Amino acid sequence: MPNSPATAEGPVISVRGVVKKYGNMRALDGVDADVSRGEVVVVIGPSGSGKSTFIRCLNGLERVDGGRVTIDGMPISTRRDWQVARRRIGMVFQDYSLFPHMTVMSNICLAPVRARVGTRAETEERAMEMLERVGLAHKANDFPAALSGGQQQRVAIVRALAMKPEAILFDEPTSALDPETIGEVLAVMKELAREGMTMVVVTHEMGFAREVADRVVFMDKGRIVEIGPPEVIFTSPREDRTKAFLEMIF
Amino acid sequence: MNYAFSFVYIVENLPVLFDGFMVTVRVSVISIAIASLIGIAGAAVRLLKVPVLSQVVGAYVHFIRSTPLLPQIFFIFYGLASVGLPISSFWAGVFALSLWGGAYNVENVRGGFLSISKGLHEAADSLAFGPLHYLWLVAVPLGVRVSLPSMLNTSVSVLKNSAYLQAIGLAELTFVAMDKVSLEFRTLEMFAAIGVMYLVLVLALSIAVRRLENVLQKPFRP
Repeated sequence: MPNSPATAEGPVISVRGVVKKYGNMRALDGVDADVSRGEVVVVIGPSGSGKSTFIRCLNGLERVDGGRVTIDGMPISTRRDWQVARRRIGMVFQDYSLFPHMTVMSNICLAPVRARVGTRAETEERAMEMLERVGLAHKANDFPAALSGGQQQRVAIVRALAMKPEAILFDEPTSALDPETIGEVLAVMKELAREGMTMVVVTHEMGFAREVADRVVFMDKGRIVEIGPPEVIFTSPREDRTKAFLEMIF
Repeated sequence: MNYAFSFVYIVENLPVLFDGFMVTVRVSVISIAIASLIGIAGAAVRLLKVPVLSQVVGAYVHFIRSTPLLPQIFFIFYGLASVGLPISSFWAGVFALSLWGGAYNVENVRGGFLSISKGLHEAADSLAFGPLHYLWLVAVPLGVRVSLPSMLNTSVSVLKNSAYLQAIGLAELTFVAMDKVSLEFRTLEMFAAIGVMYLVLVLALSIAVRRLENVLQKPFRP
């Protein structure tokens, strides 16, 4: 059960010794991490460090070659396990990935109605409220092609939320956006964080990490180099590799 | 040489040509519809990598595309009769043309499925869609739209290849024309007349598919 008292206190997502190989290359080389309920974890690191692979392992888009992933205390391994677990772990992609042949409303309501998260009427009502909050209620009946990148990404966030997930994964949600629209997406994410949504965010937005993260994970070469609160990671990192990376980007 | 082209002859024979025309329309419309369904179903089986069935579809496509249509028509018409399943030349024709067009459509639709970005598949996965939900809600509407131009090509071929069905005695348009030619030797008149009729049919088919394309294209216009 998703909210049974026995598991509610443990981490929502827990990974131990996770390995992901592409041929001989180890994209993830023994990663351990926990994400607690209501926590915002921001993952940073150079490109090719494995941060996207890491977040994709948290909802089974990449199947791990070693180690284990636990959602709400339950080990997840088979395809079927993942299909069930994904109802509780939402995901927002870099390229939004809205279904281009469906209106904004259908994009949001299709999955929750199918998965019986709520009736159609309830789901549409909630979708409208959420669209209102992200300032896109007037776009409910438009197709994605009629929306800007920032608008599409806000719809994608609402689509993930409509499943009433316990956690949402964000894989570089602002990397494909024009600079002037990044802010509107980050604002929605900040509000979500304030409301206590459990979030794992891969991003290059260091301002967001500093302001919103409970913990920052620095990854390099498929491993977690350092985990800590943002004020520690950004001002006095322990590891030399973290220092080198931060010096490069600031 | 004083062969005088006679429009009057064509007009006089329009009623009998029209009978053949209607047989061609019926056999083609039914075959094109079934061939389209075979294409979508076959491509779906290949997309979902259904064990055994996927290999069967692969073999079917290979077999149909590697042998001429005429022997396929004979094989079905005489083959079924010889195992005690006599079938009218009309339905043998529908059978043969549907299988033939279906094989090409499997590849047409498969191409359409392959054009769908991996990101949309992952988005469907992350929303807990099962494979069949992905197929029905994402792959078919998006993939068929992309494969429509090549499916139209195949459908036009099905229509024109219905002329082969004269070989099993179906009184379709070409059969009727050949029949009249063998009796009255008005070759040019008859073939000009049926040429125009095929032209009209293909034009109608193209317009219908263009309309469908426009409908499916609507969401993609900003």
